[in-house]
Amino acid sequence: MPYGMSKDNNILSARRLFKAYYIGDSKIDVLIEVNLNIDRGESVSIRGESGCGKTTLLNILAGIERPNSGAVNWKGKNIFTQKPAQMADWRSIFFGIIFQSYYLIPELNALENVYMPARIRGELGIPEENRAHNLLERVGLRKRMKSSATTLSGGERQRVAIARALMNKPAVIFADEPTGNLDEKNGEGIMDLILDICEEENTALVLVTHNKKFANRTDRQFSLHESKLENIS
Amino acid sequence: MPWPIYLALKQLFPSGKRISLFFVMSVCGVMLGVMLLVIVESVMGGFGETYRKKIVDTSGHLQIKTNGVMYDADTVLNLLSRQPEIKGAAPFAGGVVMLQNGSHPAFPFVRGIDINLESTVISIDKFLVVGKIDDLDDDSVFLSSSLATSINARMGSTVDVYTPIMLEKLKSDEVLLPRELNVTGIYQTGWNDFDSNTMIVTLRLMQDLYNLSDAVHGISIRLHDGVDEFKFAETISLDLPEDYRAVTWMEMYQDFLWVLQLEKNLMFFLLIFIVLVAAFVIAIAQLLTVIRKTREIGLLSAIGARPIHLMACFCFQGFFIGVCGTILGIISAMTALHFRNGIIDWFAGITGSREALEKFYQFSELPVHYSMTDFLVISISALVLSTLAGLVPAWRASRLNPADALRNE
Repeated sequence: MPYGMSKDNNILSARRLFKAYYIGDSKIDVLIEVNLNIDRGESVSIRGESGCGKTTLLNILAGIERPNSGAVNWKGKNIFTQKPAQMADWRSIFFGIIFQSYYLIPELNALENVYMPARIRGELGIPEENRAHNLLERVGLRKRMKSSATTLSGGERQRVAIARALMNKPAVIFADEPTGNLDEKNGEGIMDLILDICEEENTALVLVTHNKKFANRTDRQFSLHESKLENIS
Repeated sequence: MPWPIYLALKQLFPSGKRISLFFVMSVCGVMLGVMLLVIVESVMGGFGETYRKKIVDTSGHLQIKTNGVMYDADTVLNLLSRQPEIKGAAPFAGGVVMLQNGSHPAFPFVRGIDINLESTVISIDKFLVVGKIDDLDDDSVFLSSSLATSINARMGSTVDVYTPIMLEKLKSDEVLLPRELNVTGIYQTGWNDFDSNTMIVTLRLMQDLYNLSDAVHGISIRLHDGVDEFKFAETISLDLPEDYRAVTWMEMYQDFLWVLQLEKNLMFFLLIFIVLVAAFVIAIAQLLTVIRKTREIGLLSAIGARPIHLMACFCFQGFFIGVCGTILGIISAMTALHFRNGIIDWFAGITGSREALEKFYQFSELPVHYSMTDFLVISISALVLSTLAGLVPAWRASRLNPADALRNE
């Protein structure tokens, strides 16, 4: 999706986000006056040094962490003014999240892990089952669907996590260093997969990464430097 | 299946893995508690039932009583004979006398019975160790086994009976000689209250000893099987003359039965602590699970799980452990109770306590009575405690901030 879409396409916007952590008496400002718009189907990357607050920003955008001030508007409504249950429902329906450490549920097999977001959403049916199968096929795990999450390799786990993030056909995928725990070859494969699938499904992508090469493959690139977000596209 | 239940079951029974040790330990805790509760409550219930049967066998279901003596027993007996619920009714008179056999005195409670009618209420024959009911006449007496032993009397012994009337006569300078009676029977009912210090004579003799003329002290009643004695006592009391009342076996021995019930309740109270300890095991195991799975909880929250559903997931695990523990506990208890006599034999054989068991408890076999109410109370208590045990960890899980949970190391 090209840079500079019309305002009608905007689905997620962050306004004047401020986040600070307090450790004892000292205050660490992580995000200051951060503004960001995400359009439907576009991909955005956020780079920055370790510990600069990239994950915090991603968590705030995904509604799993609250800022000290500012708003994240989803379809015109500030998600942080909603009740926890409503926020959870929104995350379930509109957002998909991929973590660096995969976070698969070890008691479930690959297919069950992918199917979990549909269970949480309460949509259990043949179409959802087919989608879970198709997604696992799409990420190249057709033969490992019934394998326990604990028996999968790092790359396979991340593929399952990608399929899981896409299960509920989200409008935005938040990917937090999805290749951080993988070797270069596996990392490139995973990155290709995420970008391709997001394009196929017309899903917006917010990618947090250290890797400049991966970041350059997104529509817009941002850098988080000294608590401020800069457009470096 | 709602996802909290699905995930709770998956966490307890992971795909392709062994069952969690926490789960096994928690279930075992609840199972042991429930098993002990069921065994103890059923045995205590068995004692209660056995005593109830013995009381009814030796006293009848009801007694019609009045303040003092009953001069119109025939009228009351006539009224009772028209009640279809009544199987038999017999008048009786009773009181304390002094009994002496040689130099062995005793002060037993003597019960005067109508030989013709008594068998419709109490089968004395059934309890006679020696002698038979036809041997009882106005010059003879049946002694309870313990009484006979204490005064060293046996079949054919002659015993002297002194009554309170004799003391009255002494005050007016009259002297009445003691009544000499032949021991023609010795009985043992198995009901300690009856066996320890009682004797049986004919009603005519008792009326004579107590100078009652034709009066009696009450009427014993046995009801047909299936008749509710408590309801019948209420109904018949309305038809009885003024000052007369129907007293059930439970009222007659209410102190003893109250103690028995108190013992049963006390045992429940004490043993429920085992279930409580099991609940703590569940709480600790679940809390550890919550700590161990903090990141997964964060993940679930991040992908859209509502806090209340996260809570339900962990709460259900406590409930499910409670269900498994309760079912296994009841099955184990029923199995142990089925083989109870073998177990008791084995235990008595090892400790050499068989004689003591029979002497003090008067049961050669351990009595058991299964009560649906007991089962329900035990099951509900175990389930409630197990579920509550899961509640604290569940509440903690639901309160976790997803971002903090995901950062958890």
